[in-house]
Amino acid sequence: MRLALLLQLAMGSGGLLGGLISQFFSTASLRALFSATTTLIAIVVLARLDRRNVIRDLSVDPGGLGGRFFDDESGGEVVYRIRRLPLALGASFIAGSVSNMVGIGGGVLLVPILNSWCGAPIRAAAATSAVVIGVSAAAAAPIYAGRGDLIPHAAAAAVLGVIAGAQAGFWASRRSQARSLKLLMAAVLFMVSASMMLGGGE
Amino acid sequence: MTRDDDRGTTGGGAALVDADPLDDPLAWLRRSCAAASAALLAGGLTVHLLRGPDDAGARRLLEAGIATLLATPALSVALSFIEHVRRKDVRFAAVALAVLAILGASMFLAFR
Repeated sequence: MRLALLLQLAMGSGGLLGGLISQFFSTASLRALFSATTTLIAIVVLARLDRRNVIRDLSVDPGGLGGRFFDDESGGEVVYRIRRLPLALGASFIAGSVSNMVGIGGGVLLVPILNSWCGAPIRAAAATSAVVIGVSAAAAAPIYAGRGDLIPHAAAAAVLGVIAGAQAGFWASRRSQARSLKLLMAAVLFMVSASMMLGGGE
Repeated sequence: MTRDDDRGTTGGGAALVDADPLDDPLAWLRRSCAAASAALLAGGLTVHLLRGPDDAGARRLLEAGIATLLATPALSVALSFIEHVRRKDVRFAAVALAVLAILGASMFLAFR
């Protein structure tokens, strides 16, 4: 929760900035930047597919931002520690601003960065991101709504789908291996990258 | 100490062992807000489909649902702020207050 709070500060600032400056950037350049970034991150995720951020030595102090949890996959209690906090904060800020400018959830950037570089296990990264991106969206959405860019019935349909999908995702995540989740993450990143590059929805 | 060889393991899933006591009320708050928002949005969408896009009732329901959804993170952070003040954890109370300030600034910029 403490990590989520710190990341909320960075991502909320980024989301606010993204909402304010989005009109000054061309959609094509933002999409190209986002596409290149997601491809790079997908490659990093694939490179670290079999590396997990769990420590089985329970004497290790998780620190103020890490934690302990029972991991079925490891067959017992494990510890994780958060490393490179400045990187996590910087990534959150950029994820908040860029993702709001191109209209995509920042979790697609935040989860792989937290997992690949900052020491968070994939499920902890996903749970932290789910808490954090709400603040980013809440910081940017009123600005878009104020400009009249929000389409209520389209947003409602999307939200209902997301709520149902989140329940299904939580159920599936608990029954999946970390390696499978990372493969899925990489696939989603490649799909997002291709979608951005091809200008889907424009 | 970091495990490199998770291949071949079975199952999956995780449960927090040393969960923060703040996690439960925050989870309850988020679940309640998500349920209220989903009910409002589903109702609004149904009315929108039945009565057409210009129906004022549908629009009010949809806007209430979206407002509930967007208020959820702010309420969560406000709850975190209160709890950190109660624990005398000044650093994280300040972080929570800064997040609330960002959300407040967003509202101000949107509707000034």
